Amino acid sequence: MQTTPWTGGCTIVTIVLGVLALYLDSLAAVAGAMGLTALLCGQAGLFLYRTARYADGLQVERSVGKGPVCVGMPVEVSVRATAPAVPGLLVRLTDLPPRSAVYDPEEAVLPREGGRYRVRFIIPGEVGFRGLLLETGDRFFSTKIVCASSGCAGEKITVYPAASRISEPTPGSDAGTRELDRMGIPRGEGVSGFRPFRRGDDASMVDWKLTAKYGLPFVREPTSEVGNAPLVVVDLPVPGTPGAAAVLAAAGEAIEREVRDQGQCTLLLITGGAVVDFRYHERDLGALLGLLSLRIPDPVHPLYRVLDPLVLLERLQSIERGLLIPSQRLATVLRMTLRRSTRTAFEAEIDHAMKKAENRVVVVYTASSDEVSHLNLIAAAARRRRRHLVIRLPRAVRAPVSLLSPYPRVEAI
Amino acid sequence: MQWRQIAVPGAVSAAAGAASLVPGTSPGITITVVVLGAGIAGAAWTGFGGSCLLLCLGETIAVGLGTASLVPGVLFQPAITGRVCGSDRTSLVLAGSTITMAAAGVLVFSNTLFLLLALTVLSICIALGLMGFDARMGQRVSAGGAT
Repeated sequence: MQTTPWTGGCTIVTIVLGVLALYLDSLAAVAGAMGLTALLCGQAGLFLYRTARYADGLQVERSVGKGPVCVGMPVEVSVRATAPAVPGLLVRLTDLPPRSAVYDPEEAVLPREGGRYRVRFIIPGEVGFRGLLLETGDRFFSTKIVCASSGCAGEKITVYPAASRISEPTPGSDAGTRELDRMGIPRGEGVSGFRPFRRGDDASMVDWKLTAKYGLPFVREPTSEVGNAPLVVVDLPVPGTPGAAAVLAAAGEAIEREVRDQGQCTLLLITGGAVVDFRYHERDLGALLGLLSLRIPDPVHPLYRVLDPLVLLERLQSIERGLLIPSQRLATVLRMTLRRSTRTAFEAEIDHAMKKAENRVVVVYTASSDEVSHLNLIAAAARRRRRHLVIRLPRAVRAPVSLLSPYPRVEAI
Repeated sequence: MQWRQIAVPGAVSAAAGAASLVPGTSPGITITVVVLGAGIAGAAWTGFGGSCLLLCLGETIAVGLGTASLVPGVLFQPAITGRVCGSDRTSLVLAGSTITMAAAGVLVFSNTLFLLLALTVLSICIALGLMGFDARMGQRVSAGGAT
């Protein structure tokens, strides 16, 4: 139980009156001090009684999404709380999702005993909501209590791993969910071309002959079994994003071209830091184009300012060489970040998609302008898988280029 | 901070302070000076300004009345409650009755030292009891936490 400034004011006056009564032997001052003390004690008792009555009568009905809940997928949580009416008590309720969930705490505050918010679960398994955070207050006191009784926490839910997400095959298509039991990447027998070396390229692919001839490092671009057909990655834009229509139009053209030339297209749909769908060797053009739409704005950002490991390594080396202002703490954090072996659900899904798709070239269509962490993670995955990455942005989007990984080639739509 | 609201009681306090420097001043003026000074300090600290000062002024008047005769001083206490507790009826009735009954204790026991000791001991006991109740309620409501 915490006190408010009102309680502080009353206490000060009580102490002053008590000291005066002792100093001046004044019964009137004693009366004032006793009155204010009794007032505070009575109000404290009343506040606790009211809070206990409210908390005891609190019941919560909670529904989590529609259908199975998967790791990394944004899920809408609908909460309805019923409680007895307690006049004179200010109440604020905040839902408490499982500790392993990512959510916006401001959204989880329930207006008028009910509300909706979005949450992402990042660990599979059986999880339970922690209950409700009950904050009550009046003029003199306030308190915070976690109501975790069965009436507030609700039943446990099962979060399925992201890999178990099932994409329905479209009519007329035998592609979609078939898992290929292949390891490694078909590197191809020949070389499709050469290009200048970029940071992050595999050193074994450097063509030393050309490098010596031109004085610049060149790398070979090998052909693969799937030819030069790219894996198309579309970052579905939110309504109102500059260049959203251009991105969708360009992605649609690319998909149409692939289906026309190759007879199929492999498409990966993402929304910021979440994978929405993955269509492997899909032949139904209509089904693919039907997937391209604006996404619902999602305020939950599971990723935040993730930089490419290359950039982090460069910073660490700059610190170690003394080119940056030396900060041992920053250097330690960078080392720990570079050493971390765990990957986010998004990274795992991207890695899985690239491994399965086999395409040598990955083309990302995006209109992201503020948060490009997911693009940097895609770049890191492409480098690990030795894919050639191209990021295509609308001309209107200029801001993220400076934050992007140095590995991909950036083109304007 | 409502500096205008502080200005008036501050001026009254300063005037009363100046008067208290005159030899032979009554204890009532000293009480006025100290309570209003504490009120201004409290108002500056809590940021409540006028509300806190009104409480101090109310107590100053109650003590002033009580210095002349105890009964009017005690009967003035509910007026302070009305200002402090706002419009909530239950809270108002409870506060009015407790503040008046506690202040009326001076009519029964007229020993200042005894009353102050009793006040201190009772305050500590009640505070400990309320803290215990608060902790128990927190434990009961928080029981059965999830993962």
